[in-house]
Amino acid sequence: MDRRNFLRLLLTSPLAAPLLSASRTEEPSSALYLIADNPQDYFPTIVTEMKKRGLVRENRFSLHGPHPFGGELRAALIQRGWEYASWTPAAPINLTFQPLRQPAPPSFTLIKHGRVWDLRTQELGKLWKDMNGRGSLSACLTVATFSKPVPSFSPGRKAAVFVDGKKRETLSLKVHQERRYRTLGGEVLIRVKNGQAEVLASSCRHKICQSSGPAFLTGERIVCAPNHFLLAIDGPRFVDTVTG
Amino acid sequence: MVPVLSIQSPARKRLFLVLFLVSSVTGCRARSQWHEYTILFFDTVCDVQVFCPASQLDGTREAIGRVFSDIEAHFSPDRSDLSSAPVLELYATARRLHADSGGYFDISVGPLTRLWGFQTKSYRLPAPKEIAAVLLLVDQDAIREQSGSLVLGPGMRLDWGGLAKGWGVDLAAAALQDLGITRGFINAGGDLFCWGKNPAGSSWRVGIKHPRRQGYLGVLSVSDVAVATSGDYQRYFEKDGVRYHHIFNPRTGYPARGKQSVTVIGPETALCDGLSTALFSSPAPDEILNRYPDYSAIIVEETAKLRVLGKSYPLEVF
Repeated sequence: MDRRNFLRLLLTSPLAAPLLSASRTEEPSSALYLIADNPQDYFPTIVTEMKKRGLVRENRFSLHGPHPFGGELRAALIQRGWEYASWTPAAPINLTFQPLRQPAPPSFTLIKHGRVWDLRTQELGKLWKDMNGRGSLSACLTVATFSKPVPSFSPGRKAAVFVDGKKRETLSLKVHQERRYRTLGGEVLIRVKNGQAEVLASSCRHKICQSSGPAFLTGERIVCAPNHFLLAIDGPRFVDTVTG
Repeated sequence: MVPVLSIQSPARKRLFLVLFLVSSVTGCRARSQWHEYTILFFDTVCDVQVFCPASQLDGTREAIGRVFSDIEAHFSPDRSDLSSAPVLELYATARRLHADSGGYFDISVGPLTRLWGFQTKSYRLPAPKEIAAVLLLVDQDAIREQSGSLVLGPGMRLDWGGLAKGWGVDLAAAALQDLGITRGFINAGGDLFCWGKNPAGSSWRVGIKHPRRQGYLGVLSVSDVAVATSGDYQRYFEKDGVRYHHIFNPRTGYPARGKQSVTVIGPETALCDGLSTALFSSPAPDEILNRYPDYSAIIVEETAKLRVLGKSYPLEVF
């Protein structure tokens, strides 16, 4: 099957669903379609080559739902150094099985950001020839979806200062400044510099606030419980709340 | 001739009455909006975000404050009266966790917490002899229930730290739901319960702190569940390059080894709180979690390897 035929198949079947829904859910951002019996003979080579080219960054994979060659595929990937995640959402690469109504010649096609990528160069070109040289058709489609990498935090823009339970003021993290706050419990001196806020001195006993280091990510905070003092970094929100 | 309704006519009166009632109902019903505030309880920062009319906001503060104050009073480490209903009720949970964890969850670790200085924040590395002596006082099985009270052996002390805060969050969230709050979260220093949809109208995005660097290990997308984390980075001191943290192995008397953090997700915050401690201490966390099919655990091993056990909850891992 050439790419044109594959695209026709893709667009006239529910296979396009993961890609069409990607724009709404923001995942997955790309998918590899492998038509082959014994995908364990081909998939590890393809995905390893993709990693070499920077098309795949993570090495954790997961099998979502039953797959006729699931056990073999999993074993072959682990043997090539890929890490299996039993929990599907934890894996950046998810493999699913789709039976084809009409058996088709073996092929592999990557669709990334809505564009078809031709992977058939060098190593994978040989693999393509090998797959098609056997002359057999396959009704086994393995779809590998690749989750989009997400930033793990976002820097804040402002520091909100709360004293004795009330918001005292908001400081821009862009402005270099030092501020001293008198509270019901004592005194706290803070400094804002290079986009970070930190406690320089505090009248509290254990100085945990002072040793907690600078805060600069949205949601981070410095607390001085004895002095009823709280500094919270505000900015574009990446999460609603935090555990840990 | 078309009949005209006079102001005095009964039909017109009814119409005015209906219009008046409709306008008064729609006009007076306060609009719900999102509110965020922070309060200090349990020696930590508690974040609250609720969707309610402004007129109800003080009511939510009072409800949470009432619950948290009660919890602080009943579960203070210095409290000698162990006969109150909340103490007996939470002890039942502690007993269950103790049995299910093969003793790795133990609320009688109070003498260890004190010996290592975690209660007063005057940290010290005790001598092995001291630890051995204090370990004789650590035995949850030695706690008896007698005449409606818990009875401790001489020198024994309870440490409710692994349960009480989580239970407080459960009770406070229930109190807010009783007030009619359908969306929100309460987060007491990382022990949290979230319900309904977030301000964007989707599941709540709960960041899990990375145990060794700034930023998040991953983000959960959840609703109507609790989340709690135990980590070796939360309270610790270092001596000669070794990190000594606050989650004790009740069998050895030393901080539990082998993990950096354990995050538990499930229906009840108290159980998430207790399970995160138990799973952190135990060398066989999967065996414990098998007894709690509605719960999931995200474990960061000492080697930084990530393990996810139990029920599946949506998680993005970075």
